[in-house]
Amino acid sequence: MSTATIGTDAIERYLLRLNAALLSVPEREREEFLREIRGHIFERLEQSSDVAAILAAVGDPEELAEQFRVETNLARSARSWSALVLMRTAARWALSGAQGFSIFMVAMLGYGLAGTLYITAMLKPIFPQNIGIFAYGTTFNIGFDTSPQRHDISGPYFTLYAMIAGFLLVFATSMALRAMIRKFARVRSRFAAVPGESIGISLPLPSGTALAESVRSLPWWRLLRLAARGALSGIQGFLMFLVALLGYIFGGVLCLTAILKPVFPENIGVFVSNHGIQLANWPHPQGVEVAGQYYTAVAMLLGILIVFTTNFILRHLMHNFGRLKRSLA
Amino acid sequence: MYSSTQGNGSQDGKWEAQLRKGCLELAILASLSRGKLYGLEILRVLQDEAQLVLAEGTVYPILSRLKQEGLLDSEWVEADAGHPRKYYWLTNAGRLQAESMARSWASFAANLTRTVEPLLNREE
Repeated sequence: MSTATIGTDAIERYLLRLNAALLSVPEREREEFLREIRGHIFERLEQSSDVAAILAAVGDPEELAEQFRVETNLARSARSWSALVLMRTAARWALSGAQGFSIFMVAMLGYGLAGTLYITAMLKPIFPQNIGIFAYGTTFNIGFDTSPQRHDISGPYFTLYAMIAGFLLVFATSMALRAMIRKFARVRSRFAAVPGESIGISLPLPSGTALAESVRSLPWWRLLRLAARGALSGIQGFLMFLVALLGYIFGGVLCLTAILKPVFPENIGVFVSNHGIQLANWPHPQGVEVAGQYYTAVAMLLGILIVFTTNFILRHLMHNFGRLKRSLA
Repeated sequence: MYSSTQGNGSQDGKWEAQLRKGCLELAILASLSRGKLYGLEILRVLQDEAQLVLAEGTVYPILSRLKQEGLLDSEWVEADAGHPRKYYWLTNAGRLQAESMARSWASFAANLTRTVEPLLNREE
């Protein structure tokens, strides 16, 4: 095999790896980018025959692909009118913050419940008849109760039980949070745009490894703060996802009912009754239908308007959040 | 993907890498203010004039984003060498953005230079 053939094989392998790493990118953009990188490599080959050095200078194909995705995804979505593209980007963004939210929820529930137990333990001597573990047949109520049928099964030991349970809950919550944050940090570092000293735009998040290392020694209040920060970083994503979900579903339902109105004229419309306002009334219509023959036209117009407005809001949000992310990167 | 040309310790290197990273977009827009250039030509300007040594592939994703943002336009041109080249140039919006960024940079650099001047004088 000649040196030239070996060189060409290496280039093709490099471009295949780049192509494989870019499979999630729209075909036209991917091909354009590959063509540009191919052109760059062959241009370099005219100055040097060291293919390995040329490919090394261009950069790792997977890192390059990741950088391309991060650079172009938000810019593409922020200018797209496609509900699918906007919804997908919003969902991805929301999911990237879902871990933060789940950690925050665990922290709030665990520490919140433990805090409640401590408070009730301290209040027991003040309200001995109303605080305790109250049994009602097969159900229990722990905490404050004023029901005349209450029967406190913990008696004078409630303070001790509540203190021990609170301590165990704080310990278990801390353990769970540490494990979740370590796992979250590993995922985060794996998804970092370009690791190390790269020039790529990365997410405005702390280093995954550093987070994983430092979290081992964190006290519970710092874990709570960390969880809150994680949740806040995902709020933008959740906000956009909620806007997309509400806007597209409501707009879609309106358009759908507009189309179905001629098929089910008795059951679709704007029904006003004691229960409120309903768009569809199934199987037996109740209340007064106020839209009449204009329903199809009004619902269709309103549906399109809502989808259009949702698109507009999402584009605006993505553009501004994208700028914010880049400025923080 | 980025190699710093200066910097003493790893902390200095990281700081300098972040600093240069923040300036890359301005440097690309500024290099295109002189006219139509293709990827490799932009890289040469960045390396020779701005001393920005970076992985060569790095510049293309940024060019793609700037084009999507409407700051650049591009066209493929068949070159004599046989490999088509994608030439980029600034749009009106890109020129305005580049000028605005350049003004911000000049003002920021001048102010910061005054602040760090005592440190530089001490070195002398």
